[in-house]
Amino acid sequence: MVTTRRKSAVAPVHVVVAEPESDSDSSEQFSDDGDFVQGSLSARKRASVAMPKAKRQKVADTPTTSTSISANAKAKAKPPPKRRRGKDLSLLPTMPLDILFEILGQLSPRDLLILTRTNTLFRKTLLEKNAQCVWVSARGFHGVPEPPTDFSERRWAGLLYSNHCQVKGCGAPGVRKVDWFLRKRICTQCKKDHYMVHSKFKTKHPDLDNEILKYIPSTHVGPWANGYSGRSKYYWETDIPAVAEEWEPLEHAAAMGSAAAKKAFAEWKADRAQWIQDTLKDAHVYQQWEVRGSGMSVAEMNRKSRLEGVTSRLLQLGYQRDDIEVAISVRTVGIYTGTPTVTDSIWAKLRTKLEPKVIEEKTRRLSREVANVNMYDGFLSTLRPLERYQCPPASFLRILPEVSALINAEDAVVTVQDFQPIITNMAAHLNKYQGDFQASIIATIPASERDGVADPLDIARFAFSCQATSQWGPSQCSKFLSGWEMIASHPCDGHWRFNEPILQANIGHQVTYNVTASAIASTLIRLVGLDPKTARIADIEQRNGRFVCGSCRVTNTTTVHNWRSAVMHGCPAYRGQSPCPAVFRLATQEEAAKAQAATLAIIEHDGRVWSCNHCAAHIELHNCRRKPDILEHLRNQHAITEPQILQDYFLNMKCGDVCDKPLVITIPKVKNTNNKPHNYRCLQCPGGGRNRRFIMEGVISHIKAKHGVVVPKLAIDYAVDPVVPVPRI
Amino acid sequence: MVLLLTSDNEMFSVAEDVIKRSAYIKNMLEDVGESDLPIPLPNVESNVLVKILEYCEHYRGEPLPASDVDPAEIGDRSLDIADWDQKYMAVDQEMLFEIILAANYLDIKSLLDVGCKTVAKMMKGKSSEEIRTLFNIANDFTPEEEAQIRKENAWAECR
Repeated sequence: MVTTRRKSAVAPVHVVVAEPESDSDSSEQFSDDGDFVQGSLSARKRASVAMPKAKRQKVADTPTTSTSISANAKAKAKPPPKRRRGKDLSLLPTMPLDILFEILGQLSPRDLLILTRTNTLFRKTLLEKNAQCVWVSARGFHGVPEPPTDFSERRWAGLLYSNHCQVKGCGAPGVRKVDWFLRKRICTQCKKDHYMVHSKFKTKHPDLDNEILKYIPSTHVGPWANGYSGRSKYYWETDIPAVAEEWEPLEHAAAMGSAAAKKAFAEWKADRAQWIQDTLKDAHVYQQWEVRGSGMSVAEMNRKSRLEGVTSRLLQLGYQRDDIEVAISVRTVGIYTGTPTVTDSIWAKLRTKLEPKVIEEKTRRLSREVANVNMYDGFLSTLRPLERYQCPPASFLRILPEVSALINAEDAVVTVQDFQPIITNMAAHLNKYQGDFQASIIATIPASERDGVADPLDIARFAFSCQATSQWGPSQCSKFLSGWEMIASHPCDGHWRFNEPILQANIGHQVTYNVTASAIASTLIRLVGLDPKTARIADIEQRNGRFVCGSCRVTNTTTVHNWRSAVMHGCPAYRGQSPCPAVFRLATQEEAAKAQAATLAIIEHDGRVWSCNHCAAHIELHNCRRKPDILEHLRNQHAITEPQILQDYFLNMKCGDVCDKPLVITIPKVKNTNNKPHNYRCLQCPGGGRNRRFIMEGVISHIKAKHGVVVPKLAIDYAVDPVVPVPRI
Repeated sequence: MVLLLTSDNEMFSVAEDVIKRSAYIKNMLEDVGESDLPIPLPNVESNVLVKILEYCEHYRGEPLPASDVDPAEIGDRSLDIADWDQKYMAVDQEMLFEIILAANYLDIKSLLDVGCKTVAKMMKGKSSEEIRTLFNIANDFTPEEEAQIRKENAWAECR
């Protein structure tokens, strides 16, 4: 695990990425990667991989945890950091190192290896000495054994996870096994070409002593195709001259009879023999890890990795994990064999085979869910519309264990009848759901605010907003809601998504306390002369107050709000919208009267906001009717000549937006009778000021201010030049 | 209530038990005590703070993670992310970047973990080319470096 500032709780420090080349450990650490190691990048590259200026500033400015408020006040005086437009994760490699290492530490060594081949900045960062901890963390997390002492972490990852033959000039893909005795990944052809069986040693190296073979690593995983025994020892042919280069001078010196040379030769042999012994011991450890240590063979790991890759791709397409897991496993054709990484090209081929299986499973599940919905619709049809329209959508049944058990049942056919027993308990289910929902909403109000309040959902100052995520993207509903009736009838069902896995549908926290809206609501309550602490929704509705926002700079219109639309006005409806500061005043009597009349007209005549309480024909937002129409409907369809509100028809709260629509009053233009003619021009301006006309006071103040003339004079500084209307042709 | 002043000079009034999820603010409040002065957050913009507060509000009342516990020690090293956190993190890359930086600055461990996991998940199992496409990263290797990378595991004749 990477040690980060988060653990140490110490303020961030500026980390210089480019370290001095004199760090010998660093050079040694990665020297086995070839010549592309720390310090090998050009000066230009080093400069380019240093942290960007903005980042250094940001990190350096960060106050420590012990900074006092007064100290922070100084920081406040500093200009705010300039926002970097277009910032995205392309700047990821430039993040503070502790964050970057935190992210990279979550990846596997294979992913890190791929990152080193992505761009120079990632490569440079990961090959730095201080990135050692990331490799160690990734290796530790994935249960990979420690590398041999003469291997760097990166080289070790390369050996384990690169499937290419490592022989120079070969690079053949698909080499699945590592020769742990030689610590090399070699393709069959290269084995044939470069392995040397011990029986041929004397033929190929007649000048060398047989004893040297004791000090050269060997393997018994030979090319069977060559017809040698499995017990034969094989040597990598270039290892022999390499060791001989060390052997021969030592042997020669020892033969000269010097005691010191003999001792040095003996020590070399002892060291070398120990290294060979360690290599053999390690090889068994690595073999065991490969076969059992990680719980699965390399092939199984590849399958699992491939399955994960495919699952990830299908999830991105919007399929739910349950359907994918039922439809596809490591045994599925397309997953069982192949490379572990699912690249775009591989996915293009696999998709045609695998996606239909998931679609089939999804269809099966949905058919059950449809049966579930049909059952619920049947139950709702037994309720009066006024009760019914505030019931949650059918998807709420997903949270019932009985329902989920049926939907996830192994049996092939589930019908409406299977859901029938649930109907008997539906009233209890609904009550529990609504109780839980109310509790979850109330819980979002700060405890200090709601303590001692009997029914917080009836208090006008507690305003909420819907946080449901849209089905079609990451946007949220953000609708302002106040009071249980409005919340319960809120038509947004974005949070009930059929694509969500069953049992994971979350009913809580979709509607949460909104601090901004509540603050505005409190202000409005005060404006109408009520106490925010005690005012109920019915109280403020009864006042029927109207409000005008003083922050909106509109010159020719005045927008008059009722209290609900006023709150909405001050809350951003979607992410990214700049909220209005919303400083309200009470509307004048004239403004209020007009707005109240407009609302009345909507409710009584023009607004499609009414529903019949005898049938479900006009219960939804899109089919509500005007009041005269609903009265006619009651008369014609239900033979009710004197309908009673609430009993026979009701104002549908789903249409709140229509009723709460603010009134925009156009301010008539007042004709200015004292208009003075713009007959003056400034002679001091270029061209005699022919392009600009003033009234007399204007030209004088212009000349004083612009040209510094203390006492402007007619005909010298300004001229009277009546505008002659252009004749129409 | 705690007053917070963002880099773009927006003032936020936040309940103390909400914002205490930030160890940075929590420590500051403990050190300084109650004050009417706003706490300046020069590294956090208002739109990011709104998002951060949404997170703190959601986890309000839940126990704060111990500051000295290494997630690795408690086995929290999988890339699994809770459903709500996943939805919360379903934002554009710019906002994700900002959330991670802000969580780091405000020292909100759990949020930083979620942010890091989200980015790690985006990178996991991808090829170099896919990562470049995903993060809009240019392949700035010179031809020589490309060749070096290709042969970096070719050791046989060098030893």
